[in-house]
Amino acid sequence: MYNNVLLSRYFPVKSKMHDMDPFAKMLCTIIFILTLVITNSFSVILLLIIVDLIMLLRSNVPLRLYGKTIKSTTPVLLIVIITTLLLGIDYILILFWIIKIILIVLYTSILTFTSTPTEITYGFQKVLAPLKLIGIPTSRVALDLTMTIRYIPIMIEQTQRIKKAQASRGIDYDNSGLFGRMKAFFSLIGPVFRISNRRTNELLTAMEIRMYTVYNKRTSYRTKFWGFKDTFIVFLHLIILIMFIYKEVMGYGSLLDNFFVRWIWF
Amino acid sequence: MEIKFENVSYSYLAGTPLQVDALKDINLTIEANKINALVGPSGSGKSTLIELINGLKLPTKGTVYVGEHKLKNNIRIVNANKLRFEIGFVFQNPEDQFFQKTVKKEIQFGMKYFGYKTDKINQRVEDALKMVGLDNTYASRNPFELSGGEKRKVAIASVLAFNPDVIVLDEPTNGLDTTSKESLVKLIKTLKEKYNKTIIVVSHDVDVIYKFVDNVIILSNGKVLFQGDKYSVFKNIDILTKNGVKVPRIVEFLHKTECKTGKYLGDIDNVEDLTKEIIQNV
Repeated sequence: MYNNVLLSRYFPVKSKMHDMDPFAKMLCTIIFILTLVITNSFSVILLLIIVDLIMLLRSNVPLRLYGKTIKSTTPVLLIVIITTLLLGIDYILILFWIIKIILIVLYTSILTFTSTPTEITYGFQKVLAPLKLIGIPTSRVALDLTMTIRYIPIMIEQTQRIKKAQASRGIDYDNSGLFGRMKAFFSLIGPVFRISNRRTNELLTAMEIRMYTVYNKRTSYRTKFWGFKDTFIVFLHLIILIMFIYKEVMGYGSLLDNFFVRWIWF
Repeated sequence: MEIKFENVSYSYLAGTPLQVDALKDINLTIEANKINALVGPSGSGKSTLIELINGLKLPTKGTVYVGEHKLKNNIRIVNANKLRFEIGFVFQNPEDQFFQKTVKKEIQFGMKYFGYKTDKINQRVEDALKMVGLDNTYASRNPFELSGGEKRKVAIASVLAFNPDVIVLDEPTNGLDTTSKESLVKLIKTLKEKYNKTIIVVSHDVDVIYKFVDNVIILSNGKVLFQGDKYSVFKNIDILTKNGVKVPRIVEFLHKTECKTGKYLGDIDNVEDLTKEIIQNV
């Protein structure tokens, strides 16, 4: 129940996706989400599905894990379906939105499954780099982000620990029905925050002892370098975005879409 | 309460490339009303095995019988609450077990959760503290601010409060000084003799546990290497040493003497008795 957390779920295997530069992965994610959010064209979405599937298969992460991720978004999907149905929105649009949500979740999980939290922060720092020009301390923002991301596993660990301690004193988390689970959950929240707070103070001391403070300059330790495949994949994403802009903004897209909607769907 | 393992295997991350087989086809019986020790090198599956007993983990293969409960993979534990009240589990690190602000709240947690009456809870808290040899002034203290030995005792008290039949102690002597170790040994002995509990102790500290355990189970690489009466198990010195298990020094001495003189000395388990025996024979 508490394992279904999206962030910090690095899956340590070797794959083409794991080898990619985190900055490239980050750029791709941004372009992918941007394209997906602004498009309503079926052909572009189909292309994005294909890209998503290829990257997913290249990641060497068991498909079961992606399945789990999709399963954990069911409540969100249900809310989307119910609200859109109540608002009387066209069902094709609803379907589009559902596909979009699933694609975004899958794509971000490729990123989180194949990059360690440090890599993600590194990528993020690079993406934010242009902001330096207008005087924003990007490395500090990135450090704050690292801290936040690194804190999630600690929270999970504390939760698991307390859950285990409570389970060994009789609380049955898995088989006690909805109300039983709610009761168990509320008995968990207080201790988790209290004990995480304790842990935070310990971590702070440990970091200070090692001179790990916000105002110190730090170098980054990289094991991955930008290569041809990174350029290729970023370009692939850019092409899809450009294709979309060409189709939608210039108005050349209706022919292909009509074909899909008329002949394949109905 | 007797605990029986039948062809039990347990794997972490089963079905992924990261799969680790912690226990492989274990068959063993843990006898009731005895102190059983579980000994083995790090990573031999001791902690996994004890977590299978109270259903915190379910076996990947095989069945664990705990009294009337039957624990099997993918099968819902019937009366999990009852099972966990019957098996008191004391964690390796007592801090892992604490999550409340005061010792009293810590001890009464399970009972309060299940709606026991306040009088009964208070009585149980008092009794539990008395059983572990702590007075009532500890009730209002923060469990995180106690000394190592006291923390261990509070952890045991919080388990004793719901009167379990079986008490599982994971590395109870870890990080304790000699005096605390001795008082812990005394406590464990009392729990067995006075309150008829079945006790399972996981430990590396073979010299200390040899003084009070009845039976020993040796685990190595997820398999049971030996099980039985403590002397008969530990006298396999060569095999145990080869598998990374330390043998109590007293057993080494007794075994060597036995080989030389031919006299059975397996009944002796502490230095005091040994000294007496030597003085008598010299």
